[in-house]
Amino acid sequence: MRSIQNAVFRRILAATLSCSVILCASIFLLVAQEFRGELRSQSANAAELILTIAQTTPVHELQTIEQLPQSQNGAEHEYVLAVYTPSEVLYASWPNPPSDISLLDAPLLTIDGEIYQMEHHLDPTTYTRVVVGMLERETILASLEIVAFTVLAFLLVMAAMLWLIRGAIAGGLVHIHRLADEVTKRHHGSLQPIDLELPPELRSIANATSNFMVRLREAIQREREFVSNAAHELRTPLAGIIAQTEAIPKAGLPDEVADPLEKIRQSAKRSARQVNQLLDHAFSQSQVGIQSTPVEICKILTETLVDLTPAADHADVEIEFHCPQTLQSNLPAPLLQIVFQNLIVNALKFSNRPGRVRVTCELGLNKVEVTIEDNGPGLSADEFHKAQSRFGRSNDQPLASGHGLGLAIVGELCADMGIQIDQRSSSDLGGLSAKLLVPILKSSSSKTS
Amino acid sequence: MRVLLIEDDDTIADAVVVRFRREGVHVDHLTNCEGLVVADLEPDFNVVVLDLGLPGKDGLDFLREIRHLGAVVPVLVFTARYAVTARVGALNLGADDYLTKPFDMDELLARCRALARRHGNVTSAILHHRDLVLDTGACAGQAAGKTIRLKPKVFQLLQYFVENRGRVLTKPMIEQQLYGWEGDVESNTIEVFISQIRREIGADYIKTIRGLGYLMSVNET
Repeated sequence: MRSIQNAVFRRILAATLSCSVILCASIFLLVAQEFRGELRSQSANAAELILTIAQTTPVHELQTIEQLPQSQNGAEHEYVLAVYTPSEVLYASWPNPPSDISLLDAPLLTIDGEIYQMEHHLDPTTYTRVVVGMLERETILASLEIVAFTVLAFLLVMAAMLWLIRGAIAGGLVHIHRLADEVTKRHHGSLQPIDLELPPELRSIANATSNFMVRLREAIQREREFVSNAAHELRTPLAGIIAQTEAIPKAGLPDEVADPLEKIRQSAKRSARQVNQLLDHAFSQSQVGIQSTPVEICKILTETLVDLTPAADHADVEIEFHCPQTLQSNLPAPLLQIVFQNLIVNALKFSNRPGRVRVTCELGLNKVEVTIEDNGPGLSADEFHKAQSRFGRSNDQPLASGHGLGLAIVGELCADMGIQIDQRSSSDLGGLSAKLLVPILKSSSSKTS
Repeated sequence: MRVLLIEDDDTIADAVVVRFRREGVHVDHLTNCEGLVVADLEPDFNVVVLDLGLPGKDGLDFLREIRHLGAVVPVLVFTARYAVTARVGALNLGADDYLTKPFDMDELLARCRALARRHGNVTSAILHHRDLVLDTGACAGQAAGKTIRLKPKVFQLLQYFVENRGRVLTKPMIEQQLYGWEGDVESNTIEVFISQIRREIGADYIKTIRGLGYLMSVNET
C-alpha cells in the first residue's frame, strides 16, 4: 500500500498533468490562431495606410520607389508589398511581379518559391489595390515560437508548484511521521502513554491509544495480582498437607499408616507441581509491558539447576552442566527461567533410573544454543510437537507420571520470545535432546569457573 | 537455636513447630507481626522465619521496617506467592533466604541452621549426619568412630556442607563462606579442600555436580 504522502502527491500530479495537457493544447490552438489573426489584422491595417499614401502620391512617383534590397543572408523578406490597378502594377517590392495582375488578387501568392499570405485593401473610387503579403512559413514559425515559450513557461511554473505542493504535503504529514516513529520505535512491551505535541487531528488518536494502553496496563496488573493471589490460595493448603505429613515421625510407623501417608505426600507434591505450571502459564500471559534488561543465560541456568539438583539427587538422577562462556540475551529473565525449568524438570522426570541429564550452553551462529538432554526413552518429532499443544501427552508415557502443560508452556513462551526449539535424539545419552536457539545480546570471552 | 516463626496458617505452623522441636530447635510462633518491634527480635532469636502473606501488616512491610531500623537478625522468607516476582522483592528488602511453599521440611531446617551459623549467633553445637559427628566449638569430629583430622578452613568447609546438606553449594558460595567478599582464593583451592575431606570421611558424602558445584545429600544411605 502506498504511503499517504505518495498517494496524495500522485493524485495531485495526475490532476495537474491532465489540466496541463488540456491547457497546452488550448494554448497551441488558440494562441497560434490568435497570433496569426493579429498578424493579418496588422497587415490589413498596413495595407489601408499604404493605400491612403498611394492615393495621394502621383503614379510616376510610385514607380520610382525602389524595391526592397535583397537581405544579406539570402533569406526571403517576411513581407512583400504591391500597389496595382486592374490594368497595371504601380509598385511591387519584389522583382518580377506576375504579369497576370489577377494573380495578385489571390489570397496566397508564390514568389520565388515561397508562399505569401496576401491581405488586400481596395479603393473603390480608383479601383487601386494595395496588397501586403506575409511569408506563411515565418507566420507559422513565429506562432509556434510563442506557443512553445508560453507552454514552457507554464510547465516550469507547474513544476515549481508541484515541488512546493510536495513539500507542503510532507510538512503537513510530519506530525503523522512523528507519531508513527514514537509508536514504532518504542519497546514492544512498553505501555507508556504517548507524550507528544500533536495537532488536534492526531491528538484524539494519540489520546485514545494512550487511554487504551492505560486500561491494558491496569488489566495486566489485575491479572498479575490474580496470579499472585491464586498462587497463595492454591499453594497454602498444599503446603499445609505436605508439612503435616513431613512432621509425622516416620520411625516406628506401621506400613499400613506409612504407605498411605507417603502417597498423600506424593499426591500433594504432584498437585503442587501442577499448580506451579498453571501459575507459570498465567504469569507468562501477563508479561506484556515488562521491559527486559540484559540477562546472563548461564546465571539463569545455574540458579534453576541449583534449585532442582537436590530433588534430582533424591531421584537418583545425575546432573551435568557446561557453560564455558558468559552469554547474554535481552529476553525477560522470569520467562527464560520458566522455559528452562520446565524442560529440565521434564528431563529429570522422564530420564531412566539411574538417570542422567546434561545441560549445555554455548555460542552458536549468532544465537545461544541451550541443549537439555536426558537418558530417557525420548520423544519423536511428532510427539514433541504434539506435547507442545495444551494438555497433549505422548501415548507411551504412563498417565500417572506426567502432566501435559510443561511443554505447552515452553512452546508458547518460545514462540512469544522468538526462540527456536528443536528436538532430536541425544547421541550420547540416548534420550530426548531439546535444543533452544536463544537470541543473543552479546558474548564475552570470559570463562566461568 | 531459637527461631521465631511468623505464619498465619495453623496447619503449616503446627507442622513446623512439631518438627523443629523434635530436632531440638526452640520455636516461638506468632500469627501476625502487629506490634512487633526490633527489640523483640534481638538478641533473643537466631533466625526469624517470616511468611509474606500475613493478615494486617504485610510480611514485606515488616521486613522493610526492621531492616530500616537496623535489625540484623537473619530472616528467612517463605511464601506461597508467585515465586519469580516475590523472590526478588524479598531479597532486595533484606531477606537472607527464601523458600517457596510448599517446601521441604528438611530444607527449611537446614537453611535456618545455615543462617544462624552464617551470622555467628549460635554457640557451638554438635552436628550429626550419617556417620559424621562434628563438634563445631572444638573444630573436631568423627566419621564412623574415627577421628577426623582437618585444618580449620577445611573443617569449616565440612561444617558448611553438613549445615547445608541437601543444597547445591556452588564454588562462589563456598569461597564467599570461607573467605568473604575480599578473599583472594587460588582457582583450585576448593577442589583441594574437597579432596582432603573425601580422604578423611569417605568419597560418598559429597557429590560433585559437574558445572554447578557440590552437594551433600540428605539421603541417609
